[in-house]
Amino acid sequence: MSTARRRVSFAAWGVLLACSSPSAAPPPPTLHTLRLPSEDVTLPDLPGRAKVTSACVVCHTPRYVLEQPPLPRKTWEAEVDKMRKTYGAPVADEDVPAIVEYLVAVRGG
Amino acid sequence: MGPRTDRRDFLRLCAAGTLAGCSRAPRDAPSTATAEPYQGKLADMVLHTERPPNLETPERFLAQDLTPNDAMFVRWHVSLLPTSIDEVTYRLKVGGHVERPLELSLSDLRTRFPVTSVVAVNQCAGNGRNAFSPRVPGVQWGHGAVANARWTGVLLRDVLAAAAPRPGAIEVTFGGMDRAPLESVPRFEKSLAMPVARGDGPLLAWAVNDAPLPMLNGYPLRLVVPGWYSTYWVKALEAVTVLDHAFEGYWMKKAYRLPATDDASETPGDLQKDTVPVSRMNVRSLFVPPRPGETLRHGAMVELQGVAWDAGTGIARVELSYDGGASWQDGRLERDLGPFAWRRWRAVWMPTEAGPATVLARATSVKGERQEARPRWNRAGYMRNEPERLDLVIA
Repeated sequence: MSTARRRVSFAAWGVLLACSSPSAAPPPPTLHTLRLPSEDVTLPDLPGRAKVTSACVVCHTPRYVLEQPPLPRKTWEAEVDKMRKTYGAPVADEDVPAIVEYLVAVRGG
Repeated sequence: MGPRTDRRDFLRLCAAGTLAGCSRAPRDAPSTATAEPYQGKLADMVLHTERPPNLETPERFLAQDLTPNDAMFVRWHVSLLPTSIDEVTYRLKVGGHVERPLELSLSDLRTRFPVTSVVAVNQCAGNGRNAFSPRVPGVQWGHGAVANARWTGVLLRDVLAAAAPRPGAIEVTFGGMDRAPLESVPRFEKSLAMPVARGDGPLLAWAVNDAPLPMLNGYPLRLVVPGWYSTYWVKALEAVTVLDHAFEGYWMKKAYRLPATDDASETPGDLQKDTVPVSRMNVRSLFVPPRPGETLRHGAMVELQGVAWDAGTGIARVELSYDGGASWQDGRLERDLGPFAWRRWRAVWMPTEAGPATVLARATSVKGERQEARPRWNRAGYMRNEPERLDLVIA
């Protein structure tokens, strides 16, 4: 599947984060700014990737998935549940199984 | 170092800081480096996540007294970090259950209160999470979610005193400027009980290693709680709020909790229902060189180096075992930078047999807390402090 992998770029996030002060005047010398590098993360192209992307990336980089060690299905179910109920991730009930399947496929153990 | 150099000569070389002759292989490069450097940070910070940014201190800095600002680890919980702060208009709000609410500029803080510094270890509670077995979810920190630095600011208790907490004040909360994209995500806020907040330790710090805090480490101001895990060291601090009731916020009541057992451990099949907040650090030591898997020469002296720290009593000894823990020999402690700082240690060892070898290191604090060999596990991967094990090959 590696040739079918699609590069998902989130460079727009870096731009968004860096543009908090759009004034035309030069910034005062006392201004401290932060510019973050753009994201460049590729999630494996497996069933459910689109749902994972739309549910998760509003709050965090999809690298949070790739960062994880192999985890049992029940741990992934608990993670998805926490993201929905504690953090308010926008995930419809009917999308939960596909998202869990994707996470287990990518980092199951 | 030539093969005829005796042990005394070797020690003299090391003591003189002339380490070029010591038998040490080059250290490994980190496995993951950032594609593009983060602002004010080295290019070889270990990247865990980009948004929010979570970056680990490269291991070679764990054998230095002070961690340079450009090597200091970065840990944020939610992704909208403050990106533009004017040091002239910034104000820290101190309010809540107080007689005199305050709005303090950095200049106010510098001029209205005594300025003080402390060298202290800043360590994420999840440092070493990637060594937990079975594995647990979360940022998979190696050893480098830790730094030792000189923090400069004013005592929190002096600022609280200026605001005059009212009778009945029992807790103080600390809120950062960071926000999540969704309103439903709890704001990052931590709390300290009033006796801790009014203690000798906590600082409101604007400088680290005598320079302004890097934006990624909490400019313009962060809470520093010497001896406590860095989850309390709230970055980009904007509000200090005194409460006359217990704080119920998510980051205290749900996150950063430990099993309420004697050693903060539990088993995957029997998760503890009773939990308590993470607080003080436990005693811990790290190896830096040599690296796991390194090949050393039979009959040649090798120098082992690392650091050790606890929650503020100081380090009494660091011991090494070359026989799987059957016997232990003291390493040499280096310069003492204060009770909250880490202490570098060194040991010299001459492997006498070829083949696989294992070296263990354990630290003991001044109050007698010692790293113990029994495995400890908890679901969130906090407070790892098993003696470090270094597997080597002797050729």
